[in-house]
Amino acid sequence: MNSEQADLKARFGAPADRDLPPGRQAQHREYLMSRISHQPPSVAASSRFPHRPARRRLLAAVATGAALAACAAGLTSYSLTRSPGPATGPAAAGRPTPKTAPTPAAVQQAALAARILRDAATQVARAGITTEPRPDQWIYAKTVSYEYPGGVQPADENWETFDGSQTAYFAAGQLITHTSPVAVPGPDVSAWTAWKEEISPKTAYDLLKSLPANPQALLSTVGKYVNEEGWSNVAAGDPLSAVAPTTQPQAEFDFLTLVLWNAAGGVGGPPAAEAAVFLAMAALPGISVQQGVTDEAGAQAISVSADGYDQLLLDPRTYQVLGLRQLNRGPSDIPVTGRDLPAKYWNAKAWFALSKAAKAKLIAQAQQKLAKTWPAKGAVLESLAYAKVAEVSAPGDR
Amino acid sequence: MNDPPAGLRSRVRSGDADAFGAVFDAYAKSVYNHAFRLTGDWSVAEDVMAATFLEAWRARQRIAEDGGSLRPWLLGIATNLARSHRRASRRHRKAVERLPVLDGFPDFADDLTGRLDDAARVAALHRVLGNLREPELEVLALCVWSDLGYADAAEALGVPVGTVRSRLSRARTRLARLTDRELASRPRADQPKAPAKEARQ
Repeated sequence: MNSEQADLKARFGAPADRDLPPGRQAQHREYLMSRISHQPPSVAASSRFPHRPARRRLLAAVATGAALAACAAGLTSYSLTRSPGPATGPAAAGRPTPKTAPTPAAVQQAALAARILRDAATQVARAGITTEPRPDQWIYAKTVSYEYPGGVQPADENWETFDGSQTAYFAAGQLITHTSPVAVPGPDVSAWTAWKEEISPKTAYDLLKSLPANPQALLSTVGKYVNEEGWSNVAAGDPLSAVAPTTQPQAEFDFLTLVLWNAAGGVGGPPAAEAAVFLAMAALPGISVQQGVTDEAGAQAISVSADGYDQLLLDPRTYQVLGLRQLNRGPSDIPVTGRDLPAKYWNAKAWFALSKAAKAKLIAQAQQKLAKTWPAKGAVLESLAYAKVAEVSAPGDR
Repeated sequence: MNDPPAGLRSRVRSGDADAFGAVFDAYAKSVYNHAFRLTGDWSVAEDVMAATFLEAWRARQRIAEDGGSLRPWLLGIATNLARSHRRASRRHRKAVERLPVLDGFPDFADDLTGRLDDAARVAALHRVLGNLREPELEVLALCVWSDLGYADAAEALGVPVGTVRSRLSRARTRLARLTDRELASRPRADQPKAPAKEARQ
């Protein structure tokens, strides 16, 4: 245990370990042994609960901003007010149709977005001679990030082999290399299973490679996956979707963004596959673009978004993935903790005695109050970008 | 905890149920307590513990031949299962119903002195730690409460080691900020509680 761990332990120690209730451990053991004696090993079948839990790569570099409590809220009594949305997926399949007729500006915006994404598809397909790296190829990635509150975060430098089996970082001036004692997914594992089990440039690359080339087929494959996994699970950990998607196109967009981002931590995806993803995005309703934005590393970028607030940033010339941004959606997304409420509701009993409507009203009032010190609607709450990604011959090289 | 004998990895890998029984004996308690610290509920922790070993058995072929203790791997599975549980339970609660249980918050330091039973202490901890993001909390649970090294925690979570390090240090910064804020705004016990000003971090 190093000093950091020791310090945290001293201040935030947990209760001592205790035994299971009397007899229970033996019961569990007996049950386990009866189950496993008859169970053939199945690697693929384990995908639901991968043994290396699928954390999104971008968790590595940044944690969530506006929805700072979104992730942790589940196990705390603190929480934020935004509903997690239809966490288990849409009630009805199929694409929602707009309730009102789109405005001329929206039509224009959609046309521009479609044109830019089609251009992106053409560009990446043309430029692309991406050679798939060898599994043991070292890749250096430096990410920079900003979050509100908190501000600009220290840059994050990591080395990782393409397949994720080895990683390295600097600590106190010393390069520390770590080899995973757990095997990375083998060739017998499907790209989807591998994606869930292992976060590496390779699993993102392979997943992109496995997607259908036809945009509609691609969307239907992705749509099926996000519905099976649940929208909030797809979004979990993704700073762009710390707020769970509320529409199917947004869930699909978020997912595709995540795969592109993870692949960009390596050499990107196969060009044809990235082109197909851009075409698929162009086919999503409600897509918008914004030109002339700057990513966190200072590069010029175009933003692409399904809801206008969670944005994927692309190089305006090469359409390479540069970064991600989350803009403030307005007061209704400001996280409210109990401390923001009038003191008489600091007591749980008083709070829970209120009607649902009364609670909602108090929360809205707290949000209005907080909004005065919160960034304006549309302001950047979070921004994340690769400052550099390069194949290197050894860990420590930049 | 007692480490099970060497050679266990390859035996489990090849489907030796007795060897897996030894793994269970060695780590059930550890997994159970880790799950409790992540969920704050002993009976959920028991479910997570049971599911962890079933899942581990199913995924046994992916255990590499060499490597150290299987404990980080098991704690990683448990972390994932506990996360799924947290998400599932969150789904069934309405957003506004989740709002505050505030009494313990300004007094968390007292809560940790042992006045409360374990579940209440964990609940109090979680209230404090509610200001952490999920990935930071999980790293804290692994590196601080379950005493894993950075490399082992990285293994458990399937993320690069550097990520574990940066998450933990971020957790520490965030908690320090929170503690300072609490000390600054903490109402005296003998005074009525006043609403906090816009004391956001």
